[in-house]
Amino acid sequence: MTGRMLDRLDWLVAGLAGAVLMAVTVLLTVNAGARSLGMVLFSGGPTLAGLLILWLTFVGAYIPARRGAHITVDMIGEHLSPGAMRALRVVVAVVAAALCVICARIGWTFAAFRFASGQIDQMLFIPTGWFYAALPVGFALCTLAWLHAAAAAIWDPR
Amino acid sequence: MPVFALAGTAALLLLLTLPVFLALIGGTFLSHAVFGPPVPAMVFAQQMVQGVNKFALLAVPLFIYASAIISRGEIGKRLLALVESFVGHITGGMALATVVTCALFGALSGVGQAAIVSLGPLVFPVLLKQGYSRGFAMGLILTASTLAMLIPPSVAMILYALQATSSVESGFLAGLGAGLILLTCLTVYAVAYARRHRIPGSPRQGWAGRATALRGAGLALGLPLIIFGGIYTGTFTPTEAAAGGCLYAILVEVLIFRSLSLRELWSLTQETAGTISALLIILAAGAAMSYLLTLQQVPQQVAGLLNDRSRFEILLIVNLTFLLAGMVLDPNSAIIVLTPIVLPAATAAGIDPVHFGAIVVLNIAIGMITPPFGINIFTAMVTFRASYGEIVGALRPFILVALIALALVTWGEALVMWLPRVLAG
Repeated sequence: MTGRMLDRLDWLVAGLAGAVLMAVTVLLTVNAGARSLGMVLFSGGPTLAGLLILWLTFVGAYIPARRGAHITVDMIGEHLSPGAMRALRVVVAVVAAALCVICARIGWTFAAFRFASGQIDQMLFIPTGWFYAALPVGFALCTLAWLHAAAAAIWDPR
Repeated sequence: MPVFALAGTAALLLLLTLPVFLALIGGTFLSHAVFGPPVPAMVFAQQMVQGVNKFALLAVPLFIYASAIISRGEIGKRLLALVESFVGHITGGMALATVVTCALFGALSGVGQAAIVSLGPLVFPVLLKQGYSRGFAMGLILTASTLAMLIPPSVAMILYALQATSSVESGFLAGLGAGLILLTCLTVYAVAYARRHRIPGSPRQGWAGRATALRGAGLALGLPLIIFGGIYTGTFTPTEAAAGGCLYAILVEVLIFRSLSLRELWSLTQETAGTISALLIILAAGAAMSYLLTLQQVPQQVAGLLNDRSRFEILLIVNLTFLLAGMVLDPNSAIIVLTPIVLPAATAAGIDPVHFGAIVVLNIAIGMITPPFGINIFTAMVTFRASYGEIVGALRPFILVALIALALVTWGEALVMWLPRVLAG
């Protein structure tokens, strides 16, 4: 059940991340092309591209977290027995989830602070809190991914 | 003491195989909790977001995206045919063509491993057929692929420039100088090897054959034209050039060469988005760590420690530090973590930050082919179906060649800096 829900979430996040990457590519190219022809299409283009990449960074981090594709330095994995390897997988996933909870919490505090301050971005006319909201959302998703990885390591010995 | 707590925790978490970004975050949080200074923890959230929210940084994901598209497409094959048609017939011609094509590929992709995956399977059997040994062929491809780290648009150089707050454009030119030095060293070694082993070149192609190859590669060559032409004529910023390059690569590979279907492009885009997140989140964590180190005055302490050293000694220490880091860490993570710590000491010793960038990136590039954990070694194991030991053995002479290039780049400042000084002032 949880696995199926996470699969759907994987599909959604990967789709959104791909769409963001394509959107940023087109947005910046069209904006630069228009500028070189002496036109201004959307002055908030670079700021919007920055905002989208911020969301891609933090929310997109869920994708490699689910696929075990985050950049690591694996020096001990191949020297461990299967049992020790399984224990290590549990420890890593639990520590990773704990660190993500802390990040989501401080991210939430800061984003809430920015929303409460009422500051508005001058290019996009949206609250600046939206720039920081990517952090708690992304780390909350990563927490889910690692909790699932921990559960899988405990109950599934493969 | 705070820096040891940070480094020790991060190293322990890395050893446990935690992702690099979480190791940096863990070290930062622990060092802050124990040693302060008394700033609210939410400032780290602010620093993480600000570390990624920079316009110049947008070039990084876009160049990675362009590189992913090119790696799966036909551009590499066409470039190789073009270069081979011109230099393939001379002694060591195919080896030369490999090095030059990797350099050209670097000028399109900016990512170190792209050339191994894309060009490796094309070039490797041809090199073997001409009489080069397996070891030489693998070593050459692996080492030449690191040219992409130096030849602009280099993702590593953009990351360095952002960390050092120096000019990306000047960094690109210094990287080009350093890349040409490495290319020359590799070429000399490759030709000498071919002469010693009496390896003949390919049959000479006439001008008609060369014209056909040029026509075939014409659209591929349009990509560096957009990127460099755009940047150095002032038409585009590096970020816009990256976006334009991406769109151009999509149009050429999908619509003209038809080497990628729309479905494959979409799947590639989703996959690349994940790769980009995995890199950028390290940059975000690195920003939080750098902020804490600055609050704890660590860069100043490092500069103080190196205060009495000569310029020669500082460069030697920097080279050893980055070389070792490149051997165990992902190249971009090493740049993000170490640059803010070491740069103040280097600039205090009178080293130009742009020249320093070329040294740092070349070190990291060499680290990518150096055991135990050079990332290109593992990429090559999959690409060439070779054992770790075979690849490491093959790389020995090439690492020596690369170290000669490193010495020239480090102590031959004029060789590296003439381009930035002439073109970027």
